[in-house]
Amino acid sequence: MTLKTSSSHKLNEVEQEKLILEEINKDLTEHEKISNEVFNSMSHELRTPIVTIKGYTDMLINGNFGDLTTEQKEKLDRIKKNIDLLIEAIFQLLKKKEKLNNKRY
Amino acid sequence: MKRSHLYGNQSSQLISNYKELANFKIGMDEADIVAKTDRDGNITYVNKKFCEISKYTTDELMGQNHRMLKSGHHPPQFFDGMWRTISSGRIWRGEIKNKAKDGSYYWVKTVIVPIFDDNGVITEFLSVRTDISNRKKAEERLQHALTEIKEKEKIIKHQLEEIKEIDKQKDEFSSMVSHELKSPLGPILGYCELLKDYVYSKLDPIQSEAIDEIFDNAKRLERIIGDVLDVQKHHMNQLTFNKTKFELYDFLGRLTKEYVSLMTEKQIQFKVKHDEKLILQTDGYRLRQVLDNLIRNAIDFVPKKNGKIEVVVDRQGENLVFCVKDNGIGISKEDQQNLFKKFYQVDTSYTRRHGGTGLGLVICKSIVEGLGGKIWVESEKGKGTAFFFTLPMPQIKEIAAVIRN
Repeated sequence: MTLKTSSSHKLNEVEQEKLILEEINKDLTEHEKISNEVFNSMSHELRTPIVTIKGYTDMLINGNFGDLTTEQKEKLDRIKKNIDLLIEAIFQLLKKKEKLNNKRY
Repeated sequence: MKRSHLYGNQSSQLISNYKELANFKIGMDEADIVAKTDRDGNITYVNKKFCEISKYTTDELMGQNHRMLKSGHHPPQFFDGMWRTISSGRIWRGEIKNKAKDGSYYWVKTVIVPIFDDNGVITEFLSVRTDISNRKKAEERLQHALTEIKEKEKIIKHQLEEIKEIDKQKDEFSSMVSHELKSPLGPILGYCELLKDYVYSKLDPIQSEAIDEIFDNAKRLERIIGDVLDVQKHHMNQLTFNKTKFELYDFLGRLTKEYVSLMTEKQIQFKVKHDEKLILQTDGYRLRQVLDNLIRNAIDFVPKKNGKIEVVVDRQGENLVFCVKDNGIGISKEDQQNLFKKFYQVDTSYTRRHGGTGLGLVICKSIVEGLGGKIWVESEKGKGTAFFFTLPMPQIKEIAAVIRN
């Protein structure tokens, strides 16, 4: 190998490695973007119906829409219990997701 | 013939020989770094260039052993080999790193020639050297850069493994989400239905409406949570796209031009075919991203010589069909199943040779589907590969129509 080809060979290797890294970097950034968008959208989409359910449940129980029989109140209490469970579950899961997210790329 | 005449001829011959040699010496001294040592390597002559590059004066060098210029770069075997060569009467050629007086280093391409007396005994060594420090420095820098980059690559590959793991955890997390959130929904829906049962309970119209709201939203939650993968797909299609109008002809022209040097360098025949003069309304940046990805993949799979890559754009009914085909090694039916999945790579040594994460096709898929199209592959092991994707027509207007307007 002549002097010239030895240097240009090395240069090519360096260039190639750089390109490989750039490609990996681009792919990872794109993937992260998609992942985050997915999760953020999902969290957001969950929030609205949950808030609505909780709102109406509380208002019904408080009598804002009229009186309730004991049985009706019982059932609404069950609904309230479950929506609270759901909220708590989301809260816990969001915490875990925080943790996962903080395992940074 | 007079004796003096004979001698006269000889001496003028000698003088002319001497002059010739003297001119050679002048030439050599001017051209390069020259030195002579005795049989033991002690310096007996140095030219000006030698002093310049070593930064020693002639006085400092004369009589000293050549060892004084040792840089410590070469192992003992290196010099042993050199000595063995020249002391056996052979010429030695090589590259040596020396240390100058001020501690700096220089590289010289060296030729050492043993000089013999009439009895064939070595009397001295003549060395002629050329300064190659610049080239060596450049090579050293390149080697450094290469090593650094290889280390970075190792780190990133490691991170990639971590990401795969995290991604797996996220998928598991998503299934957990799916399950833990669905459990409370059942009872909520159940009790709503009970409350709405007019035989069982009587609600005011407003209360009834409120229950309806709760029920509907619970149903909505169920739908959202129900299948997380569907959510993922759904939201992938909501990748933000920046749609603009542009001419397909210009777009493809630019693409062709930008690949010319790479294709020439890799000796790949690259063709871009399209008959349509169309104006597209879509995300050109993303479209280019998909094509770049497919073309780059093709480049890695075509044969070293006679590689062929073709990009064909065709209108087919309601769609514009893009095709990137190559005459490479093809993809087995088995691999085709997994092609668009995350992190999947057809060749496990792919990452080593070509880099990449296996996310390229996944991203292509989400872009194409986000733009309203479909992406698929047609290939057979050993018979080349063709990737197809479509863009729906409503986004395409003909130039004629536009001009008419």
